[in-house]
Amino acid sequence: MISSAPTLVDVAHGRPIRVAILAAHPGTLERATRRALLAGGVEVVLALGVGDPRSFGERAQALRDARPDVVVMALADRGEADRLVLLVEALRFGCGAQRPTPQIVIASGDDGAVARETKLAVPFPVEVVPDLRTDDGRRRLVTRLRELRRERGVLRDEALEILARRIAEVLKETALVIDVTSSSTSLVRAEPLAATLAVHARPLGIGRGADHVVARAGLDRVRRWIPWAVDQPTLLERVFNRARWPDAVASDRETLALEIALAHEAVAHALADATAAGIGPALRSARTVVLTGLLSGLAGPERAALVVVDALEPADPLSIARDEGDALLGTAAAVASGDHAPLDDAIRSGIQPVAAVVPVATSRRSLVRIVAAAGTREERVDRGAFFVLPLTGALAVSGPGVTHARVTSGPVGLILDARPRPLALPQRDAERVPAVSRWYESVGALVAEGVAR
Amino acid sequence: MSWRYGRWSVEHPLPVGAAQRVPEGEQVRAGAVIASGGTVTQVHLVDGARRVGVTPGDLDRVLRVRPVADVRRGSILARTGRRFARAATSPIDGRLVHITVDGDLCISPVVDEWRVRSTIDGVVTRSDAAVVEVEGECWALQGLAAYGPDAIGELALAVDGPADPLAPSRLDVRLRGRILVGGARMAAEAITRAHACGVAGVVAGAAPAGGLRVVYGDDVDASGRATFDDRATVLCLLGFGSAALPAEVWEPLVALAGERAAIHTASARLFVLAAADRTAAPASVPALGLADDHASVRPVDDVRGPNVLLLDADR
Repeated sequence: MISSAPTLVDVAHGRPIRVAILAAHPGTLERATRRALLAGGVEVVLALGVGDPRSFGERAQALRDARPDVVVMALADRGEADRLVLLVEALRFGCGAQRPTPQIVIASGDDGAVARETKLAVPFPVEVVPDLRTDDGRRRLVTRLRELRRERGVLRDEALEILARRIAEVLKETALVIDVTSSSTSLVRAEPLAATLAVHARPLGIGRGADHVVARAGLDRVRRWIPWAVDQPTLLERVFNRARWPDAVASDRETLALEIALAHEAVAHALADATAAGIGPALRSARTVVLTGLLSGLAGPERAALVVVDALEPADPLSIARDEGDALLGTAAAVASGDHAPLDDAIRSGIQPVAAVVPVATSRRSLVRIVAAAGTREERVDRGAFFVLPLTGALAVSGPGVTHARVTSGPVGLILDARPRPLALPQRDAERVPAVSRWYESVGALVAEGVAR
Repeated sequence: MSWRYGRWSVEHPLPVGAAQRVPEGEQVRAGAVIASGGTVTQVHLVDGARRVGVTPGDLDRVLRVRPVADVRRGSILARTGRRFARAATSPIDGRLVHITVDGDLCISPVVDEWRVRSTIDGVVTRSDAAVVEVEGECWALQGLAAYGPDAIGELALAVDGPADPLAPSRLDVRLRGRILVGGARMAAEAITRAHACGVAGVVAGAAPAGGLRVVYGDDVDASGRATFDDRATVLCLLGFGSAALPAEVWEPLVALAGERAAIHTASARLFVLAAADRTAAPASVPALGLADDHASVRPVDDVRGPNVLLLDADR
C-alpha cells in the first residue's frame, strides 16, 4: 500500500568537502572535471595547472593552506601524467603530513597514466575513476564525492535532482530548479527522458556564504543591485555579520535589500561556473523555473522573480513557480530515501506559479501578442522596456523578437523584458539607482523605508 | 561559557620548509620557538637515484645528507662506488628540502627564515612537518574571527569601558609587546598605529570589515585569516562594525590584565596564561543581539528573538 503522507526525512547539506584540482592543461578535460565537481557539491579551494607561474615552494604552500580533503587529477594520457610530476611533488611536499591525509582521485581511461600517477602519489590513498569526459566517469566521481559528504539523511543535492526530474516529467517540459540557501546555490536542469545537469555551488549563499559571494563577485557587483545609494564599508559590515550570523532574519529594508542583492550574485556566479564547465547555455534554456530554499521565501514572490530574471537573463519565455516551505523538496527527499511518496501528485498540486517572463529581443520596438483565457491582446514593447502585465494563468506569447511559447503566470503577472543583453548596470549611483529602482518598482519589489518583509 | 579555564590543545600550523621542530613530549612556554625553517621558493632539481645508479627506493641508503640539511655548492648529496665513484652534488648553497618519488633531490636557496612560537604553556603532543600541537591549561576566550600571525604578550587594557572604541591617540611605543583590549571597536587607524608601535595584538568586540580589508587585503573574509608575515594581529570577539563587550566578557579581561596572554589566530582564541584562581568564570552566558541593520552587535537583556544568540566558548 502506498502511503499518502511522506516520511519525514532529514535533508542535509552534508560535510563540506574541500577539493584541489591538479591539471595538465586547460581544455575539455578541465571543463569536464569542473562539471563533475559542480555536480558533486564540493568546494574547489585551489586549481593548479602546470602553467602556474608560482615557484615550487609557493605551490606547496598554496596546497598546504588549502587543506584539501580530495585532490582530483584528470589525465588524458601518460604524457599528461609526466607533465604533472612537479605539481604532485608540490602536493607531497605541502600536504604529506596533513591529517587526515587527502584522498587522491585519478580520473583517466589510460592505464599507463593511472599507473604512473599512482606511483607518484605515494603516500596518499588513491582512487581511480574513468575518464571524466564520459558520463560514467563523472557519475562515479559525483557518487564518490557524495559518499564523502554524506553524514545523515538525504543530501539536499539528491533531493533537488529528483525534484527537477519529476517536475520535468510531470510538466513534460524542461525544468530548472533554483535553490539558494545560507551556504549553497544550486541550479538543476532536467528534461523528460534526458540526463540531468546539476550545479551545486558552494559556499555561495545568502547567509553563511555571504562573504564568499562578495569575495567572488566583488562588493561593487553586490551593491549595484541595491536600489538606493549605500556606502561600501557599511554594506561590508552587514555582509560579514550576516556570514557569521547565518540564521539572522532580515527585519528592515537594508538587510532585505542585501539578501536580494546577494541572491542575484549567488545565482549569477553559479551560472558563470556552469558556463565555465560548458553547461551554462543549457541551464538557461529551461521553460519552467521552480524556486526552492531561501529564494522561494525571499520576502515576497516579486523579489524572487526579479532575481531570476536578472541573474538568469533567459533568452526564451519561461514560467516561474515556487515550492513554498520546501514541501516538494521534503517529499523528493522521502523518495530519495526509498519511501514511495506521492511526489508527482504533490508537484501537480503544490507548485505555486509566481510569474511568467517574456524576453523581447528587439533593436527598436516589438509588438507582443498575448493569448489568455480572457482574450487576446497586443502589447507594444520598446527596446529597454521592463514592465509587468497583470495576467495570470496559462498564456501563449508570440511576436517579433519573441520565441513563440506557452507559459503559466502567477500573482506577479507577465513580465515583459526588452532590456539589452547582457544586462549592464551604470557604474555611477546617479544613473544606477534610478534604473534599478525602476526595475524593482515595475514588478512591485521595491522595499519601502521602514517596512519589513 | 564565554570564558573558561581548562585544558586546551592548540595546533600551530607550520609553513612549508620546517628545518627544526621541538620534539613530542617536550615542555614549552608561550612565546618559545617551537619550529623554524626557511621560505622555500624555486627549487633546483638534482638527479639523485639516476645519477648514482640506484633505484629510487635504494637512494636513502646512499644519501650523504638528509632533508632538511643545509648544503654548500658542490657538496656531495649522494654517492656510490669507491674507485669509480658516482655522485650527485648540490649546484647551489641552500637546503635539501624534499626528495621526489623518482629519487631526485630538491635544493632550495635559503632566502628567508621563519619561526613559529607556542601560544600556550604546555607539552608538545604532535610535531611533524605540518603542525606542532601543544597541550596545556589556561584561561581561554573564544572569539569570532582573528587575522594576522599569532601574538604573545602581556594583556593590557587600552580603553576605560567595554563600550569605548580603541583610540589611536592612546597608543604609543610604551605599549610595545602587549596585547591590548580595545572595547567595542578597533578601527583600521588604531590597528595600524598599534602595529607601528610594536603592539603584539589587539582584541576588541568588533573591527570594521572595511578596515580589515585595508589592513589584510580585499580578499579577506568573515572567517578570519591566520598568516605568518609581519602584520598586525587582530581578534574580533563578537562581530564586525561595533560590538560593546558584555560584562561576562569584560570583567574577566579587567581581572586578568597584566597576565601573559596570546592570540591564536587559527582558532580565533585569546589565551591568558594565569592560574585558575586568578578570576572566577562568569556565572551566566551573555546574550547578544544583531542590530536590525546587521551593522553592529550588542549585548541584550531579552534572550528571545530571531537575531539573538547566546555566546558560547565552543561556538
